[in-house]
Amino acid sequence: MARRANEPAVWFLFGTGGFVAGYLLPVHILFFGILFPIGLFTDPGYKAMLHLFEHPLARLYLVVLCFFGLFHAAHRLRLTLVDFLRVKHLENVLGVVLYSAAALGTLFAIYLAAIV
Amino acid sequence: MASYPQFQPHEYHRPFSNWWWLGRFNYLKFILREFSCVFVGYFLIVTLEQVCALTRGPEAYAAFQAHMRHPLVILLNIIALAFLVLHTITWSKLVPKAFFPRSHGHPLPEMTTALPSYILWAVATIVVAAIILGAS
Repeated sequence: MARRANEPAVWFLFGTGGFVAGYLLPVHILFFGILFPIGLFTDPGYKAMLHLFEHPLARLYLVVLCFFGLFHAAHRLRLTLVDFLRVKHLENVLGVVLYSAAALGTLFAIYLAAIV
Repeated sequence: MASYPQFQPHEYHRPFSNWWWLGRFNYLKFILREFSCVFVGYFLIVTLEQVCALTRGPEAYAAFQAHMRHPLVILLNIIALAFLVLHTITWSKLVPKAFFPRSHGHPLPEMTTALPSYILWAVATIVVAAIILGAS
């Protein structure tokens, strides 16, 4: 297959996203998805979380996590669906749909970081 | 009258089951590993939902917390955590391999190339956990 010109850029996003999501999301799921809901640790609650998120670095964190993480997930899901469902002919359509969704999610993260 | 060849050659496609990924344990591992990205996307959406609730006030945030306490959501999150751990372990094993030089023509042992990534993961986890727990 001919190498696509955008391949290094896509791989940079994809590769970095794999590390960013891989390092940061497990601890998020552990606390916000499991330990706080079952009550094993005390949930910081609305005020403390809002205070935490008002910090500029926390906003930057959200945008970076969403940007790299969402593009990683979009790219990998596209490749996996093509193999799994054997729909090579839909590769471009899937790309447009999934990368657009990742871009929308990133824009939403930027919006949230701006209005808090 | 023009004569056409009776035999029209066409590409040969080896028969290929839709269930190919169940054929071997390695194929199943590959598919599970790749589908971890669904859970990456899932929890990023949850995180956006959480911050969105934060921006909309205490009642919206309480609704978010109540939603997270639903037993099925907790179960889904446990599955998501398992997939994320699978993702981070396999990603740490795979990707740094490409950046490390080979020694005497042989790739370095996997533990050597993956170790820096595991250490970074541990540091990131401790730092984020300290910030989250320190917030309350």
